[in-house]
Amino acid sequence: MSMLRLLKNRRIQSLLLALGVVVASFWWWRTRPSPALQSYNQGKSLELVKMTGEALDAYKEAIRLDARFAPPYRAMAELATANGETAASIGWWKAFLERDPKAEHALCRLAQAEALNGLEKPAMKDAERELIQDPTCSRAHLALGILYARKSEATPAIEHLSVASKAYPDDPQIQLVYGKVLTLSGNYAQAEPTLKHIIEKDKRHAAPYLWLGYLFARRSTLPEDQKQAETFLRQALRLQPELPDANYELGRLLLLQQRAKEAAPLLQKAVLRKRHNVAALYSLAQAYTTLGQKESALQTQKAFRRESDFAARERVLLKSYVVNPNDIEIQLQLGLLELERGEPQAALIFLRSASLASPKDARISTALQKAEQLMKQQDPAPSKTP
Amino acid sequence: MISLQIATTLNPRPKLSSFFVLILLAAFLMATGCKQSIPSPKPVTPVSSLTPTSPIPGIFRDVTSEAGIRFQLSNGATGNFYYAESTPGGCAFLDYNRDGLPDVFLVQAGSLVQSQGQPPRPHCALYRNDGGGHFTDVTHEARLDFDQGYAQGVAIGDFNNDGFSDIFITGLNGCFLLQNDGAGHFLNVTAKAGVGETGQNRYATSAAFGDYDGDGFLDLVILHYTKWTVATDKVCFNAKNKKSYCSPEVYEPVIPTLYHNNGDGTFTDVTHSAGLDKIKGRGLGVTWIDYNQDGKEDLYIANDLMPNNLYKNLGNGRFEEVGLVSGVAYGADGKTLAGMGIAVGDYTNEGWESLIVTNFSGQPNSVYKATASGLFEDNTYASGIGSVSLPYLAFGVSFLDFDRDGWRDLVVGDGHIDPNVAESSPNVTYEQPKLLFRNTGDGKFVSMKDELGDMAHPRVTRGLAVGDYDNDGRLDVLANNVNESVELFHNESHDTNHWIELKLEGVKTNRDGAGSLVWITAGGKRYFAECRLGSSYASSSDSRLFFGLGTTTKVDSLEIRWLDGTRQKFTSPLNVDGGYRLREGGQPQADPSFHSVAINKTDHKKMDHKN
Repeated sequence: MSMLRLLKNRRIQSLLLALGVVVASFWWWRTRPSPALQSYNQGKSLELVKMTGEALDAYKEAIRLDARFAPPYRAMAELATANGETAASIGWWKAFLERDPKAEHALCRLAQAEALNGLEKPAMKDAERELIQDPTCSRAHLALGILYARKSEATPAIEHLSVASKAYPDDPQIQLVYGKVLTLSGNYAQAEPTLKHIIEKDKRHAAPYLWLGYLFARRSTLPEDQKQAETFLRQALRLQPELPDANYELGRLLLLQQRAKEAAPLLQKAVLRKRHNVAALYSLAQAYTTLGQKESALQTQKAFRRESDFAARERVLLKSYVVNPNDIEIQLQLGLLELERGEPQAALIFLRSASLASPKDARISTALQKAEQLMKQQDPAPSKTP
Repeated sequence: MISLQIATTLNPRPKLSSFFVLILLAAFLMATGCKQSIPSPKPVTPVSSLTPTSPIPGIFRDVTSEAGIRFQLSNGATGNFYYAESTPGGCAFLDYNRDGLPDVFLVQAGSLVQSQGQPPRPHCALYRNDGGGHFTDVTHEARLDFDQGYAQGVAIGDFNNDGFSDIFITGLNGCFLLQNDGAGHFLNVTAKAGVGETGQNRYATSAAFGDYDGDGFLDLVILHYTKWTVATDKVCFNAKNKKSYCSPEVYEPVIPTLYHNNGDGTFTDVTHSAGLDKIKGRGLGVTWIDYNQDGKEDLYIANDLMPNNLYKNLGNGRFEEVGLVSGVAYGADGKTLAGMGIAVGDYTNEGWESLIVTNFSGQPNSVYKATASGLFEDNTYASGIGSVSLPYLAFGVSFLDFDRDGWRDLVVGDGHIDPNVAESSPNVTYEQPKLLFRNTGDGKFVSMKDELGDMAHPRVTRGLAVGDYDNDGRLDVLANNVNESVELFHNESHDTNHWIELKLEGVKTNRDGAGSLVWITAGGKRYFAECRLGSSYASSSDSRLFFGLGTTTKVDSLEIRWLDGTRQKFTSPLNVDGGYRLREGGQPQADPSFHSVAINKTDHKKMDHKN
């Protein structure tokens, strides 16, 4: 009774009305689409109609409106990845993960980007973290498979690539990586169907023929396997005549079968296409020796020694570089080595990095100048005259 | 292209608090994780507590215990992963007391860093073969129980031509030449001989005696691994970020030393004048081989992650490096491999000795098949050895015709350097079984993994030597293993094939007959071998020449070309299944230390001796 009396009180009625308005306003405020979300949604719509530039602006606006709102960061990361700017995507993925640490498959995307940019340690760590969250994440398995393969750790590489391969049975690139790792680690029985599966889907793909040739050439010394290897390698060359590795593989195979005369032109081609190909130079020198072409053999041996020496020095420096990527001395040595090798483009990568860290170092500046000059000589600007 | 570079303002990086978290994390790892990642040193098992592992039926039976050999090579590892811990040590068969029974010498390393109050470093050991399959430790009475430093390898040779085998021990910052006095003692003549290698950064691994200038006295080549001392040791980590042994590439390579024997108990360093100072290497395996059969001993060196070297002896005291030209410097694809040990033998019975080089795991053992042109063909995979050997890190290696069928088989001693390797490479183990390959006679080998017998026990083998210690006509195997008992394997092959063994004795040429070439003809087949004193890894095998003869019951002819070019040919038949001593200029004499053989007396007179 007393409650009814109270409700009849005009002052109480006004108070309740005001409270209702406040609650309703709060509810409306809480559930209204935020400006950041609106911008984000706008960006998504623009992306759908391929207006990428405009979508990018919308995402940036969403971030400006609410720096804690996670989705536009993911969108930016996806855009960067799709655009091939994987280095930029790393920052976006990290920013997204800081805002939404449990987001699905973001860690593996970050890992992929890191792996593509040579950041192997963090890539491996992030991919492994992803697998803790979701052991079935095939992208993480793919990233780890590739990373282990790069480190020549065949067993874990195969374990991870096998999962990725099952998840993407019709992706020729993933199947090829898997087939290649299986072949290189001597798992020929598994490699053969994997590589053949790619050919079943696309008979014009040269690479699986090359790896099948590689596989049969090494699987056994039985004449039928050797013959099969030759057939696959010749098919790879029919599809892609300049494929340097196929030229080398077939040349090597024929040389081992005492067919030096047939091997020599293939090995010459392999060397022409990849002048630092130590293996091809070595086999070519052997072919010349067998053919009694002493002068050519001597010259090729000389070239081989030079390249082999470069490769050994590079290997040692790169080992140090992996441990100390910011060491200017190592960067300079690598730059100088690449210059000596006649690879100014590769030299520039190391020298520019060293120059940024130590702009006043005369040795670095001189080397950098030389590399830039060589680049110009190798790749002169197109003539303006018609 | 649309720029997607992230604005720094929109990319909140770890700030100070995160930085502190990182510092704390690093400190925590340093205090706990890192310490745990370094394995505690494997205690050296007291010799008295060594127990034999359960026997595995097969061709080779471990008879170490019943032979009375109680020895364990210690590399002194303390968890610091000092680089030199990965390379000891060699072993040898030698007949130091000339009783016709091969004795055993075992290299010991011990503690790398000796500090005050530590027990004395263990020394190498000499075991006398008493016959009947029993050995006695005679290290003390032979006066070999002194500190030999951190020893690595051994070379055997009669450097003063007195008929008694002398011992050369290689090691870190010091080597020892021990002269056999013929009365069961060894005298340390290192200083007088001038072969002590006591300079800084002298990390001597393998050494081998050979007479490169044919003056009748054995010269000595010593390999050095890298420029390394405990003080300059670097810290490296494996794929799992655990402390491990560094790659040799982080240390500077060095040149070998060649000592010329002056014939008066002294040696002269001729490395420079011989032209061996031009190419640096990381030498681990060495052997003398007359690869082109021109009567001059050439030199072959296996280098770790550098091209192997074949030094052609030019005959004027100088050598020319022809490794690349000859096809024995690199792997089949032109890659530098991690060469460790060397085996030499004519496995195809074509009259030329081929080379096998053991390599790191992930690399095949290289098979360089010799051809008459002086060039070698890479038969690594074609021989069937390549793919089988891939998971193994091999050091000691030797040819041996274990079933005496006339085709030289191969034994390989394996064992990784990184105790934690299985964590980063799950298909590779630290301790590994030995490999035995049977030669099928068509240039190919098959792995005998199911018939290894006790050789199947996984070990970390370094030195490996082959010899017929009980003169039963079956070649036995000796293996020196890191931090585990040495292994003496008795060959218990059930074949009924025939055989012959030859002990050469030079008169004008060096007493050991090193560098002499021997051809025998039996059953329409011709067999060839060169007499050499060292190969494998840091080891020396029984210097007697062993020929398996299959079902052939007599040797039709025997021909020898001594190192000075003198040839002797014996066309009267020799009985099989026994040993002969052949003194330069003399007739083959049945070796009384072999039980069954007696030279056919009627045939003896018919022997044609041609000088």
